[in-house]
Amino acid sequence: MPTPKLKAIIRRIDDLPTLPRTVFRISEMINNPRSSARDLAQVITDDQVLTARLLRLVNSSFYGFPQRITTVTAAIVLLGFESIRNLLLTTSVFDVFAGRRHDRQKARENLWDHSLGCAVAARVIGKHIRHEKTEELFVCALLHDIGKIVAMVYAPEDYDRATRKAEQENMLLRDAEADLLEYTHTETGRMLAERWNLPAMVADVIYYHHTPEQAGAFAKEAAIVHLADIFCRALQLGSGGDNRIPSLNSAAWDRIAIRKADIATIMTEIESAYSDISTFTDAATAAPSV
Amino acid sequence: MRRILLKDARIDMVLAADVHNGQDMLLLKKGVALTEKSLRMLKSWGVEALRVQEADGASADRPDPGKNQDKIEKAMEARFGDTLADPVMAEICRAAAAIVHERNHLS
Repeated sequence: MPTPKLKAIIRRIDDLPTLPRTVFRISEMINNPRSSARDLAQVITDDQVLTARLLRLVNSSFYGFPQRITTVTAAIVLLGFESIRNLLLTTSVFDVFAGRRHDRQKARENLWDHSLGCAVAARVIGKHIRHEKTEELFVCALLHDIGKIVAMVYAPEDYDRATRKAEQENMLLRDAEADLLEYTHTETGRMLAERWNLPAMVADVIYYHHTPEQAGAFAKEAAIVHLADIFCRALQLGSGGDNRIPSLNSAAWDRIAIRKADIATIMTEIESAYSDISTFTDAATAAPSV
Repeated sequence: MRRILLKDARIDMVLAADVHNGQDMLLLKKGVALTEKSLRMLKSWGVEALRVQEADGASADRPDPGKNQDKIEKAMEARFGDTLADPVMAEICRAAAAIVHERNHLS
């Protein structure tokens, strides 16, 4: 049952930017086995901003293709459907993080870096354990803290109080929220995911990333994002508004079944993949006068 | 002004000249202080050397890398706090300290 405060935020959440319609149309097309690269290119080229970004990204050092790619169809053929969706979703989510207001710019940037770090980490972990849906893991992790953006935009005083308490008492932001407020970022995040009509897996992983053992059908995915969050905090890739490292949920660790001896290798791989991808998102979003 | 290799560049060094990539695209402007992010960006563009301003006096002294590693490990352990009782968390802490140390030295 939502508390009055949470209800007030729900009312205002209608003002939060929606993901561009194009991203939804693209997701639908990718899920349809009969879509061709040409169909997909048609949808993307209808949106000039996405087209410009896509071409900028595929021509960035992250992909390192030797020749300049000038058409969207060529980009799709070279990168594949799933990567295109990921890439477009990543840059669209960045818009939500970037916002229009200049206050809390640093906090937003840090949160973006943390989210991207977790997305990369979840994919690396997923690949290591041969999870079938590494692209979905990327999306779940990218959005796991999106509720913090909701708070930053619609309840900035609450967000400031909670981050201050988390810092002063060296506690997790979620625990500070639970102490001070009537809601936590996992609840607001799930609400936003539902409003965006994102898959149930994404909404549940957002809600349960601190309590993965309760995530039911998506317990494994929630466990992976929980571990990715710990890896990212340890590696100091961005910041989610608190400095503490959460303790590892032992049921989650057992469920993922990684060997302790492989931790250093996995973390090194995360560091390297993050370094590549953060450069490419900088290229996608930076002002022309960098 | 001195010319240094990217692998010797450190956070907070100030650029004494613009940095371009191989295609002559401007990556960073003169006067900018290097950050962890910009060092990563330069590395990914394949930049090998850059010109930085001379540091003044004592700050030009290089920190002793061994001492620095100790500092990183201590700070990392403080952030992990009592979670270190879990051997898996202790291993994550150890691996993270090694990676962060390596990152700061980009070697």
